[in-house]
Amino acid sequence: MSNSRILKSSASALAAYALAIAAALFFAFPIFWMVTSSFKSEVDISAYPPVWSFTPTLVNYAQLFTELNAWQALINSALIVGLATCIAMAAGTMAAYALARFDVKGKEFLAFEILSIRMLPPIVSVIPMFIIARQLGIFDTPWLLIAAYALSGLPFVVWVMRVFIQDIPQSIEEAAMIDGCSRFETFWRVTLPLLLPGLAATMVIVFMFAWNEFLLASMLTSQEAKTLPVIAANAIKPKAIAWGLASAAGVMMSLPVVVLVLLMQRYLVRGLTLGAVKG
Amino acid sequence: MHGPFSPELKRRTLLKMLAVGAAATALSPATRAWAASTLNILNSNTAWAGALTGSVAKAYADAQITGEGNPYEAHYEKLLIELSQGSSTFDIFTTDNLWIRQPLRNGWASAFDDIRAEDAPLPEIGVGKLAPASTTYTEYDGKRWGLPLVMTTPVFVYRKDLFEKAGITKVPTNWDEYRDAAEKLHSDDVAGNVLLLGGQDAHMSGDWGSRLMGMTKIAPHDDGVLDENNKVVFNSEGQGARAIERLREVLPFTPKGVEGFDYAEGSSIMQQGKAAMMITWSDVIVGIEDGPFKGKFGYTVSPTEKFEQQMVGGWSILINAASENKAEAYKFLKWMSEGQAYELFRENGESSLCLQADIDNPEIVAKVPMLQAFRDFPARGTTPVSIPPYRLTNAVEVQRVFYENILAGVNGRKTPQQAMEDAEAALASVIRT
Repeated sequence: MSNSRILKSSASALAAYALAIAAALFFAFPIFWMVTSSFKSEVDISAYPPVWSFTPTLVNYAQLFTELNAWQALINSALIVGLATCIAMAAGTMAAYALARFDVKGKEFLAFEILSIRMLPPIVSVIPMFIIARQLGIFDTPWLLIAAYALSGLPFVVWVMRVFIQDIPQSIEEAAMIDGCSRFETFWRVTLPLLLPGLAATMVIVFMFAWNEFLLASMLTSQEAKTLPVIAANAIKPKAIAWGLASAAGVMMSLPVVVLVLLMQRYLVRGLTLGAVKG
Repeated sequence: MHGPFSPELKRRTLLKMLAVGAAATALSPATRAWAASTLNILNSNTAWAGALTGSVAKAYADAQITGEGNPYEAHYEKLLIELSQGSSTFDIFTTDNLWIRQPLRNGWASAFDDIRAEDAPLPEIGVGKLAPASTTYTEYDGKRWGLPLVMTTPVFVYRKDLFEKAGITKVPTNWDEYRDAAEKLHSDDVAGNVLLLGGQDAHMSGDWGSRLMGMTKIAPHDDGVLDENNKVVFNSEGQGARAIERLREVLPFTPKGVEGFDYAEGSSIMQQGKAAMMITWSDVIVGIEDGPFKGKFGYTVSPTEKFEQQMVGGWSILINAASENKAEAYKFLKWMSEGQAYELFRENGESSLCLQADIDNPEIVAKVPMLQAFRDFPARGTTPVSIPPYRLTNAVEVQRVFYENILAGVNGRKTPQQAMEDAEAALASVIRT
């Protein structure tokens, strides 16, 4: 290879890296700003030009946990979203399996009907759910939000997992059944391990949707079952924003999702690209 | 068959899950009866709201006070859902005075007299200690339905140091002087003034309403927009269009991005020192003094055109008609009316006070500088006007019609006169009394 070609290739690689670093900085900057703002005092936050060097303070976090009772909200969020995600994943994956593998009469229509649940704007369901919740005596309990989030996540799981399952050759399952596995055992021991990347990707998305949901969490709870987005929204006062408090709430809300994504990282890349190329 | 799917284990697991679910539901707060002496409040998330369920609740000995704080929009949505469904989750609810007629007209609140009629030994509630302008919102149909929590008015906030630097010795008291000051103060670094074009309430009431109110003589029962028969009067002498023109005059002296500014952005830019003047509601400016320019702000009553008339708004507290503890709720409001609760609001950082003794006390005005606007009322001979269009059941919807047309007039999509004519035409089918 001639020197000029090496030079040209190095220059384009350098340009690509520079572009990638610039893009990463661009997208990372708001997160950096949120994290640093959460450790700033009100005076430092409102300073103009913005201050880059400041004495960090935990006052915003203290306020979040003492005045807004964020600890209880964090526990509620983890319990509600965790359970709802598990239910949606378990029920949705099994429904997807049925739709992908069995000759159910009118299954395309059924699949469409499942998806139609997601077509409803959430605000439409708030008043009916409020009335039902009060009749059942489950208003302001975690069970109501668990049911709501599991049901809203279900169509997404069914549709995404159906595609993942269809991508797994049916002959593998048939071989397992010839070897003596029941249909459930085949699903549990053979299909499910192959679905792990897809499950991880779908789970992270369902979890994030539920974790950040505000409308139902605000309208269907009062004091006992409040979740983190409702607490975080309280940093926005009727006619002003407590920026430090809002940043601290943002950090608290982002952390569990970041941890979950890091834990699932090795599955996620495969899951998100699985089925992208046929053959 | 053994394993996770054996029929026996599945049945047992299912039974266990049902038992856990039933126990948890039984222990849930919704199925647990509230103690008779507990009063639950649908609350906002302001300084007074925090005090209401904090130090006020502690000071009140006869019942346990609990509450749920909500951001502004969520508060209104929750109020509609809870009260329209006859829910008794909340014994007491707080409301922006803009929304107040909706619960009153729909029978979602109980009048004091009606509660007393059901429970004769209850003492009468007086409002003599509260500023008269703040108590009008809770009077309806010849009855008193609640108490004010805070009283607000459009305040003219300005940077004293920048005025001095620019050689402005007289604080503007009319819109001509205000426009001249904005032009003089405007630079690449600091905007001459702020408009709040991105907020429905902020632009309709704070920006346009503050200009409108001084242009014509407003009859005692009008709100500047509608008369007592809900007939539109806002452009009867061209004053609505003139108010838009006043906003257009100062638009060149606003900061970049002003199209998206709501209350929070306006307060933030003042707090950061990037603007010299702003007209905004008195409850909006609390955070301004927390920034690096603390002590450099001046506060006074908003400038005017011909007549010294200013809107007075605020928040009120009412008793839910579906509450199972109406008598206890009434006793709590009776205790509030005696004044201690309002003092606690002040001590917890609230600046839009409605206890008359606070407004009249120079020592308190010195500690809460925003109160100066109310102190200026008698000096300027200012007459209070109710916030428009609070007397309508669908005030928020009507405010939206105003906002869209005023904004179109300010940003040049319509002429001011066309904007007002379009608003009047649209309101004919929207106004619900």
